[in-house]
Amino acid sequence: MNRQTRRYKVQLAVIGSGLAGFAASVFALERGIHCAQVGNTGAIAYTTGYFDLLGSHQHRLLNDPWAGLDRLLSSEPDHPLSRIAKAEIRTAFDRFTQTLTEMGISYTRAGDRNLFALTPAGTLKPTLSVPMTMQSGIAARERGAKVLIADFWGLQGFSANEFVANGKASWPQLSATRLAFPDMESGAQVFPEVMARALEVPVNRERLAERLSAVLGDAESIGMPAIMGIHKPDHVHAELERLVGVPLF
Amino acid sequence: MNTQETNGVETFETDVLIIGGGVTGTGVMRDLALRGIHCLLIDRRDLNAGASGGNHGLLHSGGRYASQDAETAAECRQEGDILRRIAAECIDDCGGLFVAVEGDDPEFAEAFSGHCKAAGIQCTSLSPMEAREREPMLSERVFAAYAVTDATIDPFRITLGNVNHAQQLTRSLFLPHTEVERFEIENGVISSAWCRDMRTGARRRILARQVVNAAGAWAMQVAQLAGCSEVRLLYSKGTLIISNTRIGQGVINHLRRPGDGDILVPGGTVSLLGTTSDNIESLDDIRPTVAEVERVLNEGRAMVPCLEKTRFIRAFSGVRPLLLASGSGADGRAVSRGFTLFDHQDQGLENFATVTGGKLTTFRLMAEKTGDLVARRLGNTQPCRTATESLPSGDAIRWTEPGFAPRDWYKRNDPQDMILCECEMVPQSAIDSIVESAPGAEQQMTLQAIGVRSRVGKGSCQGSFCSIRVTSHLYDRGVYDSSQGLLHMRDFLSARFKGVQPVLWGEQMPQMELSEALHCSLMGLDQLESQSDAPDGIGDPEST
Amino acid sequence: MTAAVQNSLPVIDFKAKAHELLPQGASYDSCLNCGLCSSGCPASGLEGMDPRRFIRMAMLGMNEELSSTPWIWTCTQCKRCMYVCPMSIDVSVLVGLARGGWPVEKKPKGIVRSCEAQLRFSSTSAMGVRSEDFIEVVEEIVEEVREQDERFRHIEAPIDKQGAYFFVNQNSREPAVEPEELAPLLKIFDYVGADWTYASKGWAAENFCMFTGDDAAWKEMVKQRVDAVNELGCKVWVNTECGHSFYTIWKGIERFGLDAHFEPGSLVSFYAQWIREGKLPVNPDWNTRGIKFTLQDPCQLVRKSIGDPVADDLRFVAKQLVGEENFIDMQPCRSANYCCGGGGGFLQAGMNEQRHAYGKRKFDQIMTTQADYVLTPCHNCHTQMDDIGEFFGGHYRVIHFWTLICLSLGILGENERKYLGPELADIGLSR
Repeated sequence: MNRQTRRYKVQLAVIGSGLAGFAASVFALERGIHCAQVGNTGAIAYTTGYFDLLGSHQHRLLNDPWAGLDRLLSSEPDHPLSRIAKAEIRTAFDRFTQTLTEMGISYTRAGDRNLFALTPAGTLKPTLSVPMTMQSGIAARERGAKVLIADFWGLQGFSANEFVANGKASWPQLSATRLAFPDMESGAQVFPEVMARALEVPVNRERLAERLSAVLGDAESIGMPAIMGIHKPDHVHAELERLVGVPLF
Repeated sequence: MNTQETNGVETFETDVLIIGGGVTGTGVMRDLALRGIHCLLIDRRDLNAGASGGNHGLLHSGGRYASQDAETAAECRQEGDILRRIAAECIDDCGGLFVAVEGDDPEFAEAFSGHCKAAGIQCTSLSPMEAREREPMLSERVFAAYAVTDATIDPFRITLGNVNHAQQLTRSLFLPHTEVERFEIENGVISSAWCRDMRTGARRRILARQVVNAAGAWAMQVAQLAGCSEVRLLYSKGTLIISNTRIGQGVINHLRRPGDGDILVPGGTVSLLGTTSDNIESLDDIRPTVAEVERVLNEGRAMVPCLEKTRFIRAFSGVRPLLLASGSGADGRAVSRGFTLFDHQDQGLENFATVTGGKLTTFRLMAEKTGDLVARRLGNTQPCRTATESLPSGDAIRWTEPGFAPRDWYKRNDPQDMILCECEMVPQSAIDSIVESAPGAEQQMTLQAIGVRSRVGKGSCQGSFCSIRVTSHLYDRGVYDSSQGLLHMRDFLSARFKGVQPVLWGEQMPQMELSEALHCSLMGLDQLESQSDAPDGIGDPEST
Repeated sequence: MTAAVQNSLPVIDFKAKAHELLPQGASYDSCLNCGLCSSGCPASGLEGMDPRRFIRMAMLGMNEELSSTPWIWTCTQCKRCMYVCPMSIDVSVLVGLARGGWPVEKKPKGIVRSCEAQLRFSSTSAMGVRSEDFIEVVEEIVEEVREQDERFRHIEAPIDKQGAYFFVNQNSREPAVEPEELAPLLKIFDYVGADWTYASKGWAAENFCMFTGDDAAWKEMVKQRVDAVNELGCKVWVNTECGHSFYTIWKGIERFGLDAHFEPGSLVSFYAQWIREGKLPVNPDWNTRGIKFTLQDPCQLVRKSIGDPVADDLRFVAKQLVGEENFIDMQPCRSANYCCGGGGGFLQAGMNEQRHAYGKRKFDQIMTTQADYVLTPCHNCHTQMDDIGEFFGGHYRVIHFWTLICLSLGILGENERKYLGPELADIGLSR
């Protein structure tokens, strides 16, 4: 049997579909280089969403990753990051996150300080840039705002109680609640991917928003596991916030 | 038993204090409880934290010792028969082979069946082809093979069963994380044992009429606390590696003088390849090394070539407490696997006994002899019943058997009963029963404690996912309401990683990369301490 | 979760079979337990199962449970789990094995009957259409087209034309229940001047035998068709817009080591080629109202067979037809697309409740696009998406490419608009 082979003629072949491959393609396209990227599912499916530069050095968390970088390079002169100028790192971060923003997954810019992102366990993680959908949680913590954390029946590995138990020492105004996700009320296992996709549909957003509004009380904001959209998270996030009327993260 | 608290020190009273929560200590506990005696069992860590949890779970036919130590061999055979009767649920009667491959001593192989016969051990000669029919992955280079009645036994289930039964019989009690610091001795009698809670630092005082030292590798140290110097042990460290799937149908022994990598033992759904034997000086920081793993693997391949391409998920080490008779050599393998019961009479102590040495297969006999001594000293005339009385099962102690939890879950057919551990398919209901009523549940049931009492963390992901899910569930159950749950999760994963590190190649490498992404990159478990160090959450001196 | 079939079924050793059937490094032993398979599987949760659980239960030796779980009939063997798996583990192979293990009398009757019908006649039609009836229907349609449209007064539908370039398989649904739907494709072939033929043997483009898990029957079906193509000496085998039939040939030739003297080609890729060559001068000028279209990538054609190159062709053709701005992709799409739940014999298995639950994910995907029409070159996709649209209250319509191609070219007859909405009833009518 013969099978047709397709030939693609490009200027650059990028092999690998992880973050590095993706970034290589983005930067090549920006320069007008015609490229093709090949690869399989890999570690990119397991990324956290945070973009780290340097979160800690010698077991100390860093507020200022750039200063931390100086210290790292003086203790480890051969570290791979020594090959790139700081300005280039910053530009690359910003250009890459800019591309994501254009795709509907907005990121914060690479600032001078680490952000202290909220982990699913309610602890803090220093990182340079996070999806905008996480941003209002970081801000709420800094203000010590009254915040409700919601988890869902059937969703394993995220417990609002756990988040609150771990966060409450520095954030006393936290409380926990548990909701049933629209059309996933049976209590059987639900997957975040499925919930996130469901929220891409307007009617499902409206139904979830009703449930969120019902438990909001006097909370200023609601935090949830990462289910606010997967293809167009910015849009889903904005729409849900509009429907509930408070910042969500 | 009375418990009272005076001056912040909790005081316990019991008939017998047993030190050491391994198969021997828990065996003694059940033995005495069957005679109507109340016991308090303590362990500085948890059940089976020493050699009882660090072995290959082999129920010896005796074949291994037939050539050198006929007495131990015969003991193994007899005890094996008893355990098959009283603890059938804990045993996989899978049978075993002894095989010699090209390069092995043909005379040694030749003599094997004669030695077995002398020790009364059943042994059938097989042609190499018959052997390979039973175990198709055996090397083509096998030239001699014998079938023996080796079996495997789940030491965790035995231990849990012992404690559970003793609790039922006489309301005996188990206190994990409790270490003896000193004994108060008056007129040749240990009047109280002063202990410390290893997690909280709290002091405990235990008043017991009799004290049994069943501390395994730590028995020498415990005996010395009582001023007894005649317990002299050789520490022999053994390392084993666990495959992702079960490789052989039965046990496969290398028919040669004992050496590294000479046994492959099925353990339910996995197999264990062992074992090294290296004398060590200290019991601190026992962990498997890359060099040991390589040795075991290189040797094992001679019998079973496919081990070359097998996925291994973890290595672990145990320390055999071998009794050093005066004048015996320093070779761990040559030291007798027999056990000794010290009554410490000649040290002037009336109510202290130490039982040590021995093996998993003979734990019941060790417990019987110890029980006889202790009962006699207490004036109790009840005979030992462990050889005839079956070890009862129980809802909270069945979860260490591979495949039990998923079958139970599948049968119950409850969509709301979440699977928390995907590799071993342990559902929420199993975790709940352990948290509510498994031995040790009176104390806080941590992730690590749940791991000892179930298959949680034992599968190929080595706790990557179940640690997160079980911890969340424990927070939801109210077991935790502070950051302690995360610290426990971190400790659990660190303990797992100690064993995974030396087998990091092939598929286990991406598995651990994934684990790192989850626990470090996503949850920041590697930075928990840094967070708690700084009271405001974040510390960065240069920038404040 | 429903209880497994009570009667005892033959027990398969799944772990051993996985070792045998799956490549080293991609066998169940390599599983990282990450759950990407289950997370992306529309059958997850049905019958208490999901792909990861299937792997784990195999590894834990739960062979009795796996040999009897009805979940295997809700898994459409779409292989999305394999596609997203970082270790490329194929669960569908053992689902097929499990299906094969069920005694015929316990398998879903709809699938079994379809396969039996195919084996009965040389037409290989699952709907029991005999060759003489097929030829008669084709002749009638040709006659009708000649009469209706001046431009096609010389149109032909050759049968058994020796040495024709294309050997065309025809799904039985058209000759059996909607013969007028045969016409658009005949017109397209005529329009581009294709050298093609139908055949009197092995012409039917479906293969339910594969879905029964009966490899011998699957092979027999493919072999009959391969022989038929070889006999006529055709260069390229294409089938009508149908997914699974393409896969059964594409995969079957390789799997059973059949001697095929031709190349299996996708009709959609030829649409694309003819458009590029100017032979099919389609354009979106008719779409003045900005009607929105989305596209369903058939798993069997895209993910399981040719891969993203044919997904590119599908999009090229779709955009040429409806206008770039009127085309909205579902997410995820192309090789990562979710199966709609129409494949694997699910439509014929009589498990409607499960099939609707499965299809909810596809329904949500379609609703997210807010498209008015779903284009798909697959009969099972077509039927399933119509059905879930009705079940969940969607207002989209599902259409074949051939309909839109003819519409755009102004050659779509009045009676060939069954699947179009009223707003397109008059567009491009020549009279």
